[in-house]
Amino acid sequence: MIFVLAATAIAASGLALLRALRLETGRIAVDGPLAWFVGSAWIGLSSFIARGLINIPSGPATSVVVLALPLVAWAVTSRIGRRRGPRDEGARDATGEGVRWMPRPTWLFGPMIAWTLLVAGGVTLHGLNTPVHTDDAFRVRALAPVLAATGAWTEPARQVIAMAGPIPTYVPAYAWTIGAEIDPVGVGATVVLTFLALLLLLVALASTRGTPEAGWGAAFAITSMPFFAYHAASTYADAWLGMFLAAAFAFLIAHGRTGSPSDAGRAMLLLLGASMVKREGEIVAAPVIGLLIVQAMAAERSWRRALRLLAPFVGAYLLLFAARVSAVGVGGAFPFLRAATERTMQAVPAVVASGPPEPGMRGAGEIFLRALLTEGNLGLLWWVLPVSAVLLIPRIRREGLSWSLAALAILLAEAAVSAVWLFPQFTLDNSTVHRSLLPVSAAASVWLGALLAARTPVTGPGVPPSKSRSAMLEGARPAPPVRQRGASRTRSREAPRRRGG
Amino acid sequence: MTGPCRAAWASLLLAVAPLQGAREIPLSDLDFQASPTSRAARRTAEGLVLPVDGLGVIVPRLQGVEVLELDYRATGILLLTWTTTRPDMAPQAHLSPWHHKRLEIGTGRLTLEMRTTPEWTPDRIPILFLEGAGELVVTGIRGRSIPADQKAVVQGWEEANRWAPIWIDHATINQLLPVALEASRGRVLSEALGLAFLAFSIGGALTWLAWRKRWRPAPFLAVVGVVAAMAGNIVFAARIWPSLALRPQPDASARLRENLHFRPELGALAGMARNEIRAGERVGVQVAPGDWFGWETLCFHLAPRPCVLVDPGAGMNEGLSGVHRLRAEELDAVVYHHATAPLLPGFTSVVSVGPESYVARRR
Repeated sequence: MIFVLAATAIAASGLALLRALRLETGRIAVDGPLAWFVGSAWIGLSSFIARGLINIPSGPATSVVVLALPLVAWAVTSRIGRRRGPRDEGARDATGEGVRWMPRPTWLFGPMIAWTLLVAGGVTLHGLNTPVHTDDAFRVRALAPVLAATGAWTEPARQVIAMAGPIPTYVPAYAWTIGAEIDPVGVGATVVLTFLALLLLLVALASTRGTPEAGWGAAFAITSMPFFAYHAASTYADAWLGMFLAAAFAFLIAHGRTGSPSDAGRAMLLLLGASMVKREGEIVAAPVIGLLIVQAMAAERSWRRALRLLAPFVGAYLLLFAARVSAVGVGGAFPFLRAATERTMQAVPAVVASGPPEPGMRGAGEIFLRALLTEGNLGLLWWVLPVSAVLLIPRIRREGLSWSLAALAILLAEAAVSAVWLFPQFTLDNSTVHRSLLPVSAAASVWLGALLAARTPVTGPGVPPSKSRSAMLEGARPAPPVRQRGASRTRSREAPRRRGG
Repeated sequence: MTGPCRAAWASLLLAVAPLQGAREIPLSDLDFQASPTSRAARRTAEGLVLPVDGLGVIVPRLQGVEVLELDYRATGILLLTWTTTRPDMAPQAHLSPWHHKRLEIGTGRLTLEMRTTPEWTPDRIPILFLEGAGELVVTGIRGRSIPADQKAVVQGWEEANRWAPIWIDHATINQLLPVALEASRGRVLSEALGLAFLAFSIGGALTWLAWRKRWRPAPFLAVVGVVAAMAGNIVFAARIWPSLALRPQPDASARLRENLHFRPELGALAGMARNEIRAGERVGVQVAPGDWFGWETLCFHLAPRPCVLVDPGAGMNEGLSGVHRLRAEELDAVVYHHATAPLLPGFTSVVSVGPESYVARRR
């Protein structure tokens, strides 16, 4: 019961933060799950900075203050009149225009929805009934919140917390800090809740933007990765990181389409969350954050405006960086940077450095490719995605998916570099290569859903419902004459750029 | 289903549907070895009684078996592992895919597929491991020999592997083993589905282009992609289903007792220790040398109680990730689980799940 209350309070805090930043959409179906992500990110960020940088001990008082700060901020921004109502999408969503909840055609999406719900149910039940966890004796991710809840901050405790990351440490610990009995299943429940929030967010966001096919398609693609479904109930951090990245990609894609600064802000918040999910989270998210800043500059056509928009998030990112270094030092905070330096200094091929494979053994590159394509852990995602990207190039450009594709390429490159060059030994023994592909694959699922479901001719004036078909089955049909308000997909080169907001 | 009801169903099942093509194996053909603390095996009118305290190994004296069928009655907490081995090698119980099942208390019948066990070949010998504390009465055992026809052997092996359940083991966290479509040729399901996706999506789009003179690849990519993914999903669902824990259990100790599938006896002990040891009490764990899974599991599920692995020879004992460090004299309770060393002096057992698995307190 206390866990449910704590989760509700975290989501409420996240919603208040969204409102204080004027980033809510005005649709509770979107804002609800988004608030869980944002609330988790806020709890992780503020608790870690308070403990690691300012040296405020963890405890019930700190937890309550941390949770209340966004509410105070929201009250203040409302009071001083800066809150002029939600931005673009919120205003549009509130009218109910352009919202379509049911994907079409039913014969295709019915089984997809059924599968998605089946996996969601299975993950929920298995995740809540499996001790943490039966294939390892314990998880660092599950030990860290226990340490945080008891206020441990010794050198070994700091190492554990830094390895787990702020979100896996402080979000599950919240219920325990305010009085719940420490039961490790709370960690699994937190991951399961994030998984359900992701599925809801994808569907609701796409539906409120008129393309439920994209949302259900993405949810189906994610739940069709057997290894991701397994890890959604395992308390390991890779799927958790993937959930934050997938949510961020939903808004990155929306930003690519509309150029809306609100979507850029939401994506930035979620990327900030992704950078707090595990030790290498900052490194994984950093290039995507950089790309988003460039994208926002291009959309705003003013680097000052873009910087003003995103500066608070970049500041938060730097504070997080500082808190981590303060807690465990540079070497402890970013061991892969040290590994990368060593690799570079060695100036020898990684596989050679880790010893040549025995006769008959496959090399790291081949194992990486097999993990991507033929082992089945990621379903058929990496068969469908590249073929779709190549055959639908005009659609990528028209739908503004190029930026998010570049971000995806960066994430995949990071995974490849890590698996083949930086830590090939873990690829050669098949220990981490599959897990390391989960985050980029979750993001790729969202991108693929957006690509295949793009250009939905929404039922509207002049379009009889019976004639309206799913974009998936329409193919690269020319843009419909009726544009959704606020969308800039079909903007010609000569047309003035819409600012959004 | 309640215990008596389950027993009634089990009795009915025992009366019907024995394994087709199987031959009865005399109980005298079963060799049994157990850890020194276990009592000796004995024959009764009911069957072969195998007491287990720690580890027991059953070796049927036969070769070339593809499926075994076991009728039994179990008491206590027992985990059964089945695999195969060769006379010239030491058998390993926990290799991936690790075939294991917790034996429900009461009577039951199990069909043990040997062809999906690690590195199975027709000439290997089946071997069964029992871990935990309890008693297994083998009331009957049958085996189905491999066919004489080599082609039929390969076909049967491939079929068994195609639909083999996913066994959650210590390596599952790293990957789910691929589904072997044709194990003898090394062909896997996802590769076949991927190639089918390429052929039908691109082929469909090109056909449409030739027929209607319009380039519309998206519908073919979407529909073929969904159909191929769904085919893989159905196979995955069928294979993972037996391993899922889907019955809600809000109580942490009960959840440990029911769902710590790798070591049911350890789960029961951890659950018992959670109930017995009060918050703030300092705990030491004594396990066999090298049993990292045992002590880490116990200390983790007892957190936030300070908990360390007891090393009788060391002055200072360390806990998980070195967070807690305690001397033996600082301990309030000891959780003892099949350790080779004797219980720390000054402690005595207060609650137990077996003779070698208990919680002890200071006298």
